[in-house]
Amino acid sequence: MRMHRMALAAGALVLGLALPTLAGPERIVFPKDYASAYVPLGAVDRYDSKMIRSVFINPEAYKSYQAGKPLPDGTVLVLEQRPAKLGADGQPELDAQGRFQPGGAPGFIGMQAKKAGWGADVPAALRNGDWEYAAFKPDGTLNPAVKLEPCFGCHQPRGAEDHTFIGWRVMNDLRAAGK
Amino acid sequence: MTMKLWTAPRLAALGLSLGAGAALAAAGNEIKVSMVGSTYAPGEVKAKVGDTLVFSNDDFTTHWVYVPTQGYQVSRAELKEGETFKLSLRRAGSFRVACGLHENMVMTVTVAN
Ligand code: HEC
Ligand SMILES: [Cu+2]
Repeated sequence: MRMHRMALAAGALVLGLALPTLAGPERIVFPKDYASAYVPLGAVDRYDSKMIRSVFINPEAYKSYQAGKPLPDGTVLVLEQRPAKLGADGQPELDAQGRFQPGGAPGFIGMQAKKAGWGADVPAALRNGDWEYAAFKPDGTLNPAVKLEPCFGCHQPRGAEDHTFIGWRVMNDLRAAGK
Repeated sequence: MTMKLWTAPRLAALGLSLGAGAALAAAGNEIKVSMVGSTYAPGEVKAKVGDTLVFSNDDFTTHWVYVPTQGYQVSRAELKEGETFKLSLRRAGSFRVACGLHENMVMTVTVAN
């Protein structure tokens, strides 16, 4: 894989083309049992796309927040997206707490994971520390149709919260609450 | 100037399409949060269950309202200039509001029973 990517990089440099895959999604192992074995960090109701995006973290990383590291080396974050249940008006139905209800099976699963050294293979302009990103189909195979450059681009400016939108903040809140 | 002209009909349209939610919201107050100069104003809101937050992009750039706090997480991508996003508050507690596009753009909301 590493060889493969370096060869691609060299080729792209020579030709002046953009890389078809800039990072190594193959490095991310899809955790088939994430829904039962991982720790849920909440569900985001997406009002624009009418989706529910549930976030999970691997149990090893979850435990470490108490030691003062919100997202340690080896952190794996899963984002599972499914449609919300819609009412007759075409808008998501809200429960008594104001939350969306699931209206279908997951269609997209995004992941970000980090291991010391991974970032070295990502071009500097896109690098997000040691994070790599991947997109999976519900059956757990990589989805090659999803471009990964935007993942790096959008998560990159969030350096203060370790390139996450939800993960770091929830872990930090838990620690602050003394849980 | 032009912003005001088309924000009003937009708000009306939103109100109409809310349906059942509007009835609940009508029981409480609408609290406006303005997005200007890539900050939320006010930076702190104290609300009650039944109130509705109305995020209004009065800025010259796109924003992305999202709440990272567990139990309150919502996200409204690409809120363009002049657009509004209504969030009905039905659960007491306190949460943080951030912006998906501007890391320093944050505020807090406390909802009382
Ligand atoms: C346009 C900005 C944007 C792009 C592009 C983007 N993300 Fe995200 N990502 C977000 C936001 C915002 C959230 C918080 C949830 C939400 O609001 O939908 C998030 C949350 C996540 C999470 C949950 C963990 C966390 O707290 O960060 C994962 C995992 C994730 N994204 C992976 C990906 C992958 C994989 C891609 C590319 C296929 C991607 N993202 C592309 C903005 C983006
Ligand atoms: Cu913003």
